[in-house]
Amino acid sequence: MKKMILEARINEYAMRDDNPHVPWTADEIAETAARCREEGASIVHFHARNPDGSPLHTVEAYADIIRKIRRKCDILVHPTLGWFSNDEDPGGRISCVTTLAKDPATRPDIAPIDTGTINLETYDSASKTFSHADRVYKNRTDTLEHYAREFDAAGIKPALVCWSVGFVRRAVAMIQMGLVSEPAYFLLNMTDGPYLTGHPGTAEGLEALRRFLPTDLRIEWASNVVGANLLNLAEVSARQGGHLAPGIGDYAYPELGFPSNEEVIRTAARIVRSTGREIASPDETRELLGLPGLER
Amino acid sequence: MKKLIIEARINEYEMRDRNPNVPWTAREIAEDARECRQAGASVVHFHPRGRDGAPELGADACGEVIARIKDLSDILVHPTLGSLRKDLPLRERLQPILDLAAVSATRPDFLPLCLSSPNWDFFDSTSNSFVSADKVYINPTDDLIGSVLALRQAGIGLSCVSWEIGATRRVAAFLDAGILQGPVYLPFHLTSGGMLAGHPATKEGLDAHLAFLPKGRSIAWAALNLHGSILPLVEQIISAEGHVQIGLGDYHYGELGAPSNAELIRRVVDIAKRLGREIASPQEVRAMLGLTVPAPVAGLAAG
Repeated sequence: MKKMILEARINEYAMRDDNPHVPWTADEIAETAARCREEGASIVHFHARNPDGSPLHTVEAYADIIRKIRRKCDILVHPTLGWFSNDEDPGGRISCVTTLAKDPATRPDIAPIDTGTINLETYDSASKTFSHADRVYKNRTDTLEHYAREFDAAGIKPALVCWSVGFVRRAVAMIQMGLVSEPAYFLLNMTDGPYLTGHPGTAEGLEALRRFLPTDLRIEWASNVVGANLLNLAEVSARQGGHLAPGIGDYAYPELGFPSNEEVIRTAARIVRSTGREIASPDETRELLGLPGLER
Repeated sequence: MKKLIIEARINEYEMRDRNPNVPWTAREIAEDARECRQAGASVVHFHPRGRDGAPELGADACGEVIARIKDLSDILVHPTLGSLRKDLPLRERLQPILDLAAVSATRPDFLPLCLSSPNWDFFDSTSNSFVSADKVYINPTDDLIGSVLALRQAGIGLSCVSWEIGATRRVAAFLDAGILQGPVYLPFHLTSGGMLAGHPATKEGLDAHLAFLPKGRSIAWAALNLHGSILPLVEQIISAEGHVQIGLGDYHYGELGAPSNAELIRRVVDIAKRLGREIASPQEVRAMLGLTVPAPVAGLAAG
């Protein structure tokens, strides 16, 4: 079977109350990326953060991080678009990555497109209360089309982030429209814990997304879970020919003693290898995802 | 096995170019509802329309339709919230209907809430392009909570529409928090014909919903198919103890010779009979869904 891509999702907008290993600064992010690379990750997904952990949305910050990562290792670079924290101007949300792409030294290899709109509340079943109940992460279809065209022009590979079956169908339509080229990279983004939005992070939740991927298109999919332990899905993802995108940005992993990102990647790699699949290097991941070769 | 609820979705905003039987005016809707009731439907979902088929968005028009339906039959009444006013906050869309509910002649039995915020665009697979690309049906969770509480306070039944697993999980959380109380009427909004927001109307699409039904809760689930035939799934739905929503509002059924709504209802009844499942009357639906006694919600403010 083909080699398995491990994408390290190292920080999101996670704070350090639960897991103190969440990297924030450029140096911390670059160091974490290099360590994850040593353990088998071939892609690093990250969010730029201020020294106090708050979201940071400047081109300079992202350029600094990307240069520092690339100085340390050959891992593929997958920055965020800012998610709902950068929601005021959906059209402008991508200007950071398209600006970064003008210089090959800072061009992101991959950037995400969430292929639809979601309510992003949290529910605490202990206190039976909702938080962020007004939060809607809005992605109009024309915005998605715009992102895909701009990414294509900039030489950035989209990661099609799918929270529901409708997201999968819309992502498939984008391939049919010629907006996204094959092989397409899908992130099957499940949610658990306080997050109600996606499919549960279980084998059933994964299957209820995966079965709607058309078999006549070339699609590479990775599972990830916001709010729960993705390692529980490492084996089933490996056996089904998928890839895996774990990290402490999505979940603090208390049951593993709040490990670092590289420890999570090491554990994931061990589980994957036990199924007989090997781990893809960054160059092998480029090939699997149809990315251009190294230009630097 | 529980008796089968058949809900007639008679018109939505469909025109008549592919099926001339779509009812528009209050008179036509009431007559169509009566025929559907005679055929076996216990609930009618409708959108008020003008003589030319244009949407009638006013509360008076809706009240007139409700009153006429009730004059002609005992079918349970389930009007739209005005799905064309998706630009308005949910609670603003709700208020005119709540006003109608204060008068028994114009009181709806159900109202629909969509438990997620889907992108609402059609994809044309012939031209490989989206027909529209700017439509998002925004239903923030706090608005949904406020609306659920307001409808409970008014004693109106809820149709908790689920387009995706996240919407079903939201229903489960609302039950867990005591915002919703069972039994819950939960239609799975499958989509075909270029409407991509829901699950496909296939066995797999329905199975993917059913795998995540809230456990240990009293749920009356149903399925419909926007822009395609639901008939190929009706046997699966009936056998799995689900309920059926069907009508010309969702699909023209041109391959059946453009039948009337009542003819579609009769087809579902025939399948149910063959499978040995009885059809619920409106009175029985009230009992099944706890509609007879409006739930008091003292102490819960309507958000």
